Amino acid sequence: MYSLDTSFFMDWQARYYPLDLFPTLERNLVGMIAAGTCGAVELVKEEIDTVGTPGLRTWASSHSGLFLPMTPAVQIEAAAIEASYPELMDTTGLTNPRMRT
Amino acid sequence: MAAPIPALVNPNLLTWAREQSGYAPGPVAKRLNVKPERLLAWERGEVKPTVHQAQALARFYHRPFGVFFLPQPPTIPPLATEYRRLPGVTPGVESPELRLALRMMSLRREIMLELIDEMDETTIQFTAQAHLGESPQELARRLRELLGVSVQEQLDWRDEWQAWRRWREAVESVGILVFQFPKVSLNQARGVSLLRFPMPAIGINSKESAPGARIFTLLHEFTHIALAAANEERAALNESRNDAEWSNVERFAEEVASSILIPEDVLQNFLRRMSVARDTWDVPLVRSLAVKFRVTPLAMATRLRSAGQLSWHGYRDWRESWSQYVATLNPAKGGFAHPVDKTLGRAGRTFTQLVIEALDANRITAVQACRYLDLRFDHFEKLRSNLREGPSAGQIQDDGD
Repeated sequence: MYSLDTSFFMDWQARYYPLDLFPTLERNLVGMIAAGTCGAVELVKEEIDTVGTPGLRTWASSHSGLFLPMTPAVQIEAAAIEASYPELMDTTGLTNPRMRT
Repeated sequence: MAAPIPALVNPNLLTWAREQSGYAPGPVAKRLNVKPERLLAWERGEVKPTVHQAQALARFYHRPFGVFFLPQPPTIPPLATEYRRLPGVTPGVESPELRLALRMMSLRREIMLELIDEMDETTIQFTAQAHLGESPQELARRLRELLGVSVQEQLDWRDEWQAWRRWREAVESVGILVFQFPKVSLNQARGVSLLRFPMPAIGINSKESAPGARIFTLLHEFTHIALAAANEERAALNESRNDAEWSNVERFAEEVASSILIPEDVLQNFLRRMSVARDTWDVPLVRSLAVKFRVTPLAMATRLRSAGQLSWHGYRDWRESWSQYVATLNPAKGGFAHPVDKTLGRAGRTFTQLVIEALDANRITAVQACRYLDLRFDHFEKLRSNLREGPSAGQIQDDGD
């Protein structure tokens, strides 16, 4: 099972491998979504909506099955990771999920 | 419809995040459309918010969602150990809007230092020092020389917006970050400085619509930083002067700022040609002189007072006339600013340029770059183009709001 973050989608569609030039990549990923072998937490969808290009935002909205809810099990796992790797969390950082622009 | 999922947050972190943002429970509860008792019950751990409610809290407090899952609240130094003393602001009880502005400035400064290190670049050291015992005019001459803005250049600027961009660029070039912050009332702060070295930071309130007023605030804060560099003043939490003593520091910084903008010898040249008797300056006369220097009439009147052209009595009378004149003006209309112009206004060119360079060198991700610049990725091409053209090419009013 692959867990995808926002940078994956940005580097894929917005920076290096646009959909119209690399259709096979998209086809394979859609297949993996259908097979349940990859996913992203719904926070990733929110972040894509905030920073992503219009094309990526549209693509993400049309593949909502990719994004998994923050179930208690996911939260417990995430909290355990945070506890093991506290340096991953920038506690002073401003997250601004709904930017003004 | 799926049942709401509870957020397994640490209740102590909910309280911590609210208090760090400077909010009482009431406004937060109202924003989330719940009763304050409900919010307090979450904070006591009696009930859990849903995931969507916890996400809304994270957005409102401008904290990462994951912070609510930490085992204990992080230890963060008080904001007042960074910013200079502000008249009327008690350290530790800043408004939520001011706290956010300060956090944003502090974070951008930290990011800047990290990126400089990451990119193997050199930090520009701010070297100027100012002492309260100095003559304001002499100090102003020295600081202006450091900024490298010639009088001829100043008199040739086409408008106040060009003047603002050039003064900002000059201040950034000597190792100071210049940001703009929105949503803070002008009564709280027209500007603020973070007295941290290297790379101290100045924040200008973008509610200040007149570029001439922003310029004055910029140089006022610039003077405070030079004073701090000489240990003549300290961050708000450590500043021990009483109010009267502090007023003297503020007055000194004002006088220096106005003398940087309007050097003594140049002013005297204009005064000889205009030949206006002491205390006979009216609003049109002051405006006509102010426009030559691209400063506000109020700044010019302040300068005329320090130059002896207005007595304190004459100055107060002029200000009264000025207030009456301003009251007759229509409020300025805000125009549309492109997101790129807003980013450059808020974050400044120095910071923005380095973020773009770090992205291009793959030292940060596109997501980080978007976050740092508060800008969607699809605007980056226009941003690059704008950076290439340079600050003087801009025609827009960089609101930063």
